[in-house]
Amino acid sequence: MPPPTPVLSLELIRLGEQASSRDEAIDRVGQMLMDGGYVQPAYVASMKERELTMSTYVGNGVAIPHGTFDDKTLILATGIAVAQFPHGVTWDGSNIAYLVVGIAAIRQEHIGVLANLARVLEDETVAKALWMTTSADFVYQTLGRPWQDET
Amino acid sequence: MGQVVKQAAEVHKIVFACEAGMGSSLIGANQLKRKLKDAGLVVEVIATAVHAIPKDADVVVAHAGLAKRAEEAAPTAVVIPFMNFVNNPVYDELVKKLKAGQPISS
Repeated sequence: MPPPTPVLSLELIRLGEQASSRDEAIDRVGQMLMDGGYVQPAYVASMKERELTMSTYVGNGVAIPHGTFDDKTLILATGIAVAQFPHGVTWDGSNIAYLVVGIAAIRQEHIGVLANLARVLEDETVAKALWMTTSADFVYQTLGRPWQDET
Repeated sequence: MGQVVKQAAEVHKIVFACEAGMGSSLIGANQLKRKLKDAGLVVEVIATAVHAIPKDADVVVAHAGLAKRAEEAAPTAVVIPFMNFVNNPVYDELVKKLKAGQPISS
């Protein structure tokens, strides 16, 4: 049975955003997940709390904020919200995030998107293209393409 | 808890653990899978939340803040802590030791 809502969709991709802090950037992707019916409002606070234990900055200008294990109960459906901040958001210390990928995952329905993202993280050129692009479809095609486990 | 040592040939399952098993561990597992594959090594890599680490894990890679919980969850596994996803030296060290057939310790 297919999931009732897609894990990634064009509605979950926002380009040219601006935020003056990490929390503000998390508010943005958190609101997108809320509006899409993926999470309850309290999940956004969980995403912020999670950053305090370990930053979700994963390299090449990408951060992947998500909630804590205990707050998985606040997730209604698995979804991924992507917000692009072309001017960057200071994430932790000297790390600046240009692409913020908010994750709400019940099981592993989103593993394909994360595998695509892992590949982006290995290629600075593609990562930078995602920071600067004005095409949501390009983001959707890059992160949403079909994927097969390599192992 | 005593230090666990495994021979390279004993390492069949590597677990990448994070707090929720939702994001970071999946990215880390993918990065490690790629490096193992490039080195021509056949080792299973899975991503889980720290409380769900399977008992048969041989090596667990976890953020330093979770290392103690990982040791409790999998007492027979070598737990390798890391601090940061950016330029994480743990992958290359682990792959190098496995490739050279050297023992792995925490």
